[in-house]
Amino acid sequence: MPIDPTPIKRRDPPRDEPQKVEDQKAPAAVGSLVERPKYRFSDMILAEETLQEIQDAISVFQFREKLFVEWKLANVIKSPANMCLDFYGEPGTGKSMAANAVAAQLGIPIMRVDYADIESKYVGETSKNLTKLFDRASAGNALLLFDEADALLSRRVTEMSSVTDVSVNQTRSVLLTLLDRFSGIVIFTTNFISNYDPAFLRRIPYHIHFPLPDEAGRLALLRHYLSDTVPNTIDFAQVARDRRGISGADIANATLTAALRTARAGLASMSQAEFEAALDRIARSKRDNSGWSVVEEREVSERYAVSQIEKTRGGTV
Amino acid sequence: MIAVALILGAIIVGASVISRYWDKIVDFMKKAIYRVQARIDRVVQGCRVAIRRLGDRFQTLTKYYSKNEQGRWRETVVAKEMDKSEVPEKYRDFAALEDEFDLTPELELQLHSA
Repeated sequence: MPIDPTPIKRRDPPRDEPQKVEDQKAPAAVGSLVERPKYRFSDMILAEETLQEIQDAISVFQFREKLFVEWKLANVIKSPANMCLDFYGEPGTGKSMAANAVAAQLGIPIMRVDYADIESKYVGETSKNLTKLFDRASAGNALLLFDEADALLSRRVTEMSSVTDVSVNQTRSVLLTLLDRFSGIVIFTTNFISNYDPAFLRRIPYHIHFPLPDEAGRLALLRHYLSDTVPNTIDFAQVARDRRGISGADIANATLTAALRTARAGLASMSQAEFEAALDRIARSKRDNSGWSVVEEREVSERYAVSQIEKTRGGTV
Repeated sequence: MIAVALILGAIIVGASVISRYWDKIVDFMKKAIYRVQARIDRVVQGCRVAIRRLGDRFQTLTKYYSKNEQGRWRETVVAKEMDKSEVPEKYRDFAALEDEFDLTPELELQLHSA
């Protein structure tokens, strides 16, 4: 389905054609966190279903003036005030890149938030930091990207037994309020979805899965990273067929590693053996990390933690 | 919850499927404890283990409990994906689809009988 390239209205005079990423100028500085998007969808290889889901989601935001004002759908359907999306899936599947691409398509800058940067050991300060962030994003008309947001969105502490427990809940409550008031786009990227606080699940209407690439996807990624300019003797079809479970990031990393070793050895082209060895090392590293994937991380109440301590055959450990 | 010291000092011997499973899990947990501590910059106080089935795959979930200076507790869950052949049948039966089954008592049994 063709995509209307008209960017959403913003303070700047509207343009007939979308700006190229490299032509976009960031608005007046509102902080060092606001950036031009680094990627476009044309730079990416995504599962068709994932891409369509993203386009369906942002179309509601992109065409809201036409739909709800011009066509008066607001008379019968509530117009979404903001847009929250959650991109979830394995590491290396393009979630953060896609968030950049969304910003690029809409012609707006992006503001990436690392929760560690705003979390404060002082009670109440995290909430203030969050509020400042949203104010900056609003002033700069920027897309807010919360990367690796699992800990932030996890279930709120329900058995509060200390001031710190209260602070954790306060931060999340403030975030819920800010999400309600924010008129822009917020994207969360996570690895795991199942333990979200139900209140966040309600505020985030679009949960879009980023799967590991299938065989066709792996083939496309191999052709993308090992383009004609990289001399090689690799049977792409065979690698794509045999290497289930690898991500786009794995292929990118293997390409770089194999290319470095090929260049260092003074060889004219990258061999299949070298490339497969690079993939093996990545797979081994993943196994040595023993599937090192933090599937959930959350603040819990002292009462809950103590109950886990005491819940053993022999009592308190 | 099982004390970290017990995990770090554990050696599980035995040729049975169950012993081999726990040998792998304990080995995994020893590494994970250090990685979790480095990641979250806190001392892990103890751990628990659960198993979950996701479709035709099994995940052994190891859970680490830590506390910071302000007394804030955190639960960090690290998953180890395992093939069906690596998981004892008894535990495969326990693991319902997408639901967790607590295996901490089973691990305790292994640690105390080692």
